[in-house]
Amino acid sequence: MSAAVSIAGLRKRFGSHLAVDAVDLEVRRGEIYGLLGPDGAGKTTLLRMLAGILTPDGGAALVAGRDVVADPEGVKQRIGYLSQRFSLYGDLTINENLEFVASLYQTPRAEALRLREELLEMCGLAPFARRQAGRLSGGMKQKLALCCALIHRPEVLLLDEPTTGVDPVSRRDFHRILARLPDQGVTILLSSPYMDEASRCHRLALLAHGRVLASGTTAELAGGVSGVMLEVLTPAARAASQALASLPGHLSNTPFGDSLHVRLSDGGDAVARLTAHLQAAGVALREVRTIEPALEDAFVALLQAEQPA
Amino acid sequence: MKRMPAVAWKETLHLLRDPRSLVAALGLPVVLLLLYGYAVDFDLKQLRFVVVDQDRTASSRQLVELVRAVPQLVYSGHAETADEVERLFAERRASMGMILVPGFERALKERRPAPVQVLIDGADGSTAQIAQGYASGAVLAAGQRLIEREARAMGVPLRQLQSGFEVRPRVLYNPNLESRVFLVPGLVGLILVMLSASLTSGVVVRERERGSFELLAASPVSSAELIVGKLLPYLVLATSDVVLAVGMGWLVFGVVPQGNLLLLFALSLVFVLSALALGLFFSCVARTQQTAIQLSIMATVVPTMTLSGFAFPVRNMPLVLQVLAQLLPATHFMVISRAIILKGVGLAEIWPNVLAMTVLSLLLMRAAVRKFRKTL
Repeated sequence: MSAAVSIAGLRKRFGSHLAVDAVDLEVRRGEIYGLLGPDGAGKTTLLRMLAGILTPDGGAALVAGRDVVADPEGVKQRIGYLSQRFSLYGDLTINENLEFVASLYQTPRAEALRLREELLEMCGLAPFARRQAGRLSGGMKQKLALCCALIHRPEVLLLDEPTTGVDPVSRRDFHRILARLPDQGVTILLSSPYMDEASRCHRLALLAHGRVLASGTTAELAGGVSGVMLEVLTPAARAASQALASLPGHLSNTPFGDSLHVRLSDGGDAVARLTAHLQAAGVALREVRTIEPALEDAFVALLQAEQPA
Repeated sequence: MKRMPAVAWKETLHLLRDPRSLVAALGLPVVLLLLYGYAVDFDLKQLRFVVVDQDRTASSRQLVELVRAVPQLVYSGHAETADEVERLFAERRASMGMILVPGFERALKERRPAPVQVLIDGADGSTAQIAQGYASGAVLAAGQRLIEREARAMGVPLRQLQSGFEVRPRVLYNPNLESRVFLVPGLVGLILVMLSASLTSGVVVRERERGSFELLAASPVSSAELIVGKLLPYLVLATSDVVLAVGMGWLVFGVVPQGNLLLLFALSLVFVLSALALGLFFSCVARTQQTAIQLSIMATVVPTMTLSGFAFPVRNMPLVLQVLAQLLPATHFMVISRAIILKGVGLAEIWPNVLAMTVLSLLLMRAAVRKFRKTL
């Protein structure tokens, strides 16, 4: 079975800024795939090229079996695309928005009506069908946008930061809906700046500066972190962070809530080395222990490897 | 074109949900026409005139008496010279002057055309042309009665004295006015171009501003379906404006359309197409709705007011402006609209203008369509 999305060496340049830099990626059918990266990593540009609305400068991409350069209109008919900004009509009702989008995709009327009921039911929007979209809450707007993206039964769903700016409860709701789609044969490629959202994806690619730093499952990515991860609980996180810079074998340290995640190169008793160093620097410590690297640690490590400071 | 009706319907819903644009589209013609209608009516009742009688004969005095008897003309005294009349105009104490030069009576008796000069304050351009026609008419009618009296006094048949009278109207400050009532047909054009261009100026840039353009770009809808679907509701709206404007002109101005109304409506549609194209063009070019609407008003209203012959006859313009005016669809529509409404002529007489307007409309539409891109 061929991949739902396969990207090879895709590039896009805006002026002197390389937004997407030779990206290779493969998304399997029925998968929920996450593009994880900070703002400006190139997620939106990449998704727009896959949606056929931005022409790549180089490379190739097949989406739902269609070439985005040679046949962008063929791609458009087979995918659902949810832009980062709310892109529906605030002065039209939920029903009217759905009808309009359905006719843009030439969904037969009877099927569109049936699908509409089904989708609104699934998203819990049925009671609001006659409400103008502009009067919906942020979470409901995103669900409506999702319904619109699904009304023509696309094979691939491209979602650009679908839950940015949405409250946590609605976000969980949204993902509960997404989780049901692969069973219906829909492949999902979504982008997100949030680490916690990544855990809801089957596989991920970590994106920064237009490049894929690594890809795989959450476990694979976290397991790929070299060295030892330590968690340091201290009331003086800032002082600890500064003192750590002079510790031999120190690779990185990142604040995590009220603790510090420190990555040291392998070798020796890392906990003892670190404890001794910080105590010598006069930093008060509550606890130091080794931990399994999390996805975020992997990201920090990858970013550091990317551009050595 | 399968998706076109959906786009048109969506655009119609936007129009219905935003009462402001509907009110503008249907209210503006009413307001404009009423304003013009009442302004003209008001001024005619107050047409104050002064007399310069340099002939000082029985005939000249009789003519002054007869003109003073016209109810709509308000006599406000005698003046010595034309210069004095001009001063009274400047002080807004009179807006019409009748000058009878020495030799008026002698010319009348010798059955030569007797000269009567009528001065009109043309500073208020929109009413001066009405006033001019009106004053000339009033003086001519008074003159006619004068001749009838003379004929009776001299015991000769009236026929022999006919055409022995000549009114020479002159408009001060604004000499280019035509004497015909041409405001209504002109207003139809002005309203059409103003509304069509400003309403359509939003259709593309609004979607870009709201972010919904991305939805359209990512859908399989074609550019042609989008353009036609988006313009169609405005074409319908503009048509109702033509009906409204012509109807109001009829009711308020009493300007009874002389020609074929269907022909007028059909040609209005061609004209509207040019304005819609301009609006669409600026909608594609501009980054914000604000800019788009300002650009389209600048590009339509200003040239239509100044160059198209709406207020100033094109033939009195410098050659460069005359050439420029021919490039405006509005110039041709003014001719067409006046020809059909006032003169009642058909295609046979106005086909060069129809052809020019159609070609210009198509060229503008082509330019707008070329500017339209279904990409981000």
